[in-house]
Amino acid sequence: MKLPRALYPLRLALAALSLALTTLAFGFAGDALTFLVKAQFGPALMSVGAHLAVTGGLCVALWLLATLCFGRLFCSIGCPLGIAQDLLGALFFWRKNRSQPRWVALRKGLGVAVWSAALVGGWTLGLRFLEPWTLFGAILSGAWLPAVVIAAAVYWRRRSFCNSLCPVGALLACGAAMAPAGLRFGKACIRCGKCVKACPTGCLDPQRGVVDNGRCVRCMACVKACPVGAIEFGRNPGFRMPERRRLVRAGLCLLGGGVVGLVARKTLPLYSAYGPRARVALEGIYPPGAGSRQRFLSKCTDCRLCIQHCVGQVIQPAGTFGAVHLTFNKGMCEFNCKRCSEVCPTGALVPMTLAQKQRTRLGLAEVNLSLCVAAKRGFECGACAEHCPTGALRMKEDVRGVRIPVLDTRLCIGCGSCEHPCPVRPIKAVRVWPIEVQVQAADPAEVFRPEAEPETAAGDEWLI
Amino acid sequence: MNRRDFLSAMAGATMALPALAVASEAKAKSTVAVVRRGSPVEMFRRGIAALGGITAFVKPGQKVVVKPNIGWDRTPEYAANTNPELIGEIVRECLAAGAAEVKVFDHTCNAWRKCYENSGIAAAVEAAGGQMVEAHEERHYRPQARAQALSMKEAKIHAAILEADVFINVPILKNHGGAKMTAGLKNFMGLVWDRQFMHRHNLAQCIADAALYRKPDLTVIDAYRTMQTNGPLGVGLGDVREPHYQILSRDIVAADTLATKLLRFPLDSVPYIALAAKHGLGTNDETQMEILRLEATAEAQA
Repeated sequence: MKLPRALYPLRLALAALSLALTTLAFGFAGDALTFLVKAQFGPALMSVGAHLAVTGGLCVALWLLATLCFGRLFCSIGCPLGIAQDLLGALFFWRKNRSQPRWVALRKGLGVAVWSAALVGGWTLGLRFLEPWTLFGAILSGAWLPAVVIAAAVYWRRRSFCNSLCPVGALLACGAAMAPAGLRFGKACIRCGKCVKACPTGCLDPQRGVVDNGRCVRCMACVKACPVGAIEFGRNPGFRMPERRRLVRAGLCLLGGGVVGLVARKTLPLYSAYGPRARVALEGIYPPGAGSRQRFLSKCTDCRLCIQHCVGQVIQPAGTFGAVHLTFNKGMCEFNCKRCSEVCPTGALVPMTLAQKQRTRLGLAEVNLSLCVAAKRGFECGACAEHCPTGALRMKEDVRGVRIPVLDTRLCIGCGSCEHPCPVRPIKAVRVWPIEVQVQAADPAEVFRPEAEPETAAGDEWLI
Repeated sequence: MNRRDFLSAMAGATMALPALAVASEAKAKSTVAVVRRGSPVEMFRRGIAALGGITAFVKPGQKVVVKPNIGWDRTPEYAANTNPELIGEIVRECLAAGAAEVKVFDHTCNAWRKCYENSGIAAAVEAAGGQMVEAHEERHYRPQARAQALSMKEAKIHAAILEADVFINVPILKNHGGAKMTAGLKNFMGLVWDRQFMHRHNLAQCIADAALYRKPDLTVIDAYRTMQTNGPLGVGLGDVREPHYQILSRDIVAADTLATKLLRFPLDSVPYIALAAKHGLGTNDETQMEILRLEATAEAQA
């Protein structure tokens, strides 16, 4: 079947829409758009691994089906990093498009290994540096290193990242290469080579009349470039049923990836050797829904969508070797908010009800009375107790008759409402310390029974 | 102005001076309206009528600031923020009296958008035709100094307050972990940028000092619902009482003094009230007050 040229502008329009929507989802204005991120292939697959997310599974199934029918559509109209690379390529207009050397060719085994390391082995650190949505999020949040790396890759050979390192691309390539239908050269082809110059992936070889459908991202640039309309959609010449040898190789890749992931997870504490900053981040306070340190470190890829949407501005990026964590310099984990667990596309933060979140203990506060202005100088401060949403920190008289902050650890949820407003500098008198596992704190309604004094509307007597 | 007009104006002014002096002498007693048994709106209408109507406070063309307590991300029934219907009614009456603009803000403790929204105050103010003003960034505040202050001699105060012709202070009455009680004077912490300075440098004295930066023209203490325990944020509905009172006065110290009675706190347990009286901001002596005890509605009177 001949492909009409109109497919090229159609693909551009869809890509522009997709890039615009995912970019907007990163701002507060795009609050309603964050659910679209859950349709990104990488995060969707991870959310299935994290808590068998239904929407995630549905999205993965749809993208795989689309790939089997039409090729790597996700890479041309779904993936914001891929679309951004096309834009960057347009910026380097003076540089001629060159064919990619053979060794760049996507190692499909790499994708299988990386994904099994992440999903089976439970080690997402590899994905942090490779998964396209995560890299896109990091770049939008102002991380310069991935931006420079991607730009350099684009400058060298247009979509070389998508065809060498990207694990999503690798996985989808398996489907596209082995799909029964795909792109091919028609009889009209005059071997002028214009399509090769337009192709950003280097998947076309008109001399031999071969299209590598595994590499092709379906950008439709060749369809637009071809002067005789020879690019056709039909039986995929590369299609054949997988042989036993290939299946065994894929199985070995899966196994190897899983083992690497498991070993990496077990040896994770080694990463504290990378310096004090990483230490703080690893032994950190994690957002509500993280579950435990062990779990969170194996699920979060640091895509930073939660950071952009954090109302209290407490969630911090992972840094080079750490994990996403909370600090209370700029604010506190807002009591009536659970935005982070709502927006999290990878399932690293498990969705929960507001009531559950309000009792989820992220850390544990500790009052240092030797620093506290109320205890030391006898001032009536009470900033910590004032902000405490659960009544865990309250001002009580000590033996001297001075009102000092006293913590009821049963009620403390480690939200930082005490640490943030504490006026003591440079080290605050109230600080929240990390805990290993997020447990449910006591219910304030149980601890504070209303006092037996049901004085609603007063009688006839004036209170004043 | 010609010479004749000038002279007659001067003569008029000279004649008026002793009259003013006499008036201020007679006004030595602070008038406080205490209203009970009614909705917040009904109580305000009754109370403000007793103080001479809103036109005694707001003149046509004036800029008005209404400063409620919107410190917390809580809905009205938790009594953590001022009643939104009351704020809406005050804004409406100010505009009806010819105010050029009515601004409403608070330097919130929780995230400001959520506080403005969930307190119901943003919606009430906008429905009444007033405008919500942001107060979450340092650029909204201007440096000021008061030599009379004992602890907070310099502070950054919200620009809207400094530019306002009329300042109506509308706190809710609550227990407070640090300052014992929060009402009129404590509400001034929402005008100040650096609240942590106040906590660090003797909170009680700083609260009394804060009121020196701009004396309110009217204080309305909302005690429709009050927070008896675990204030100022509260833990749940168990902390909330419903006395259905409202206290209105030009004298902020007198209003706070009477408010202690609604929470049944001894007056000397709230130290900043005496400190504010020492600054000459008002009287904490009940014998110096003229208390008008009013029922909000005719049915209640009967």
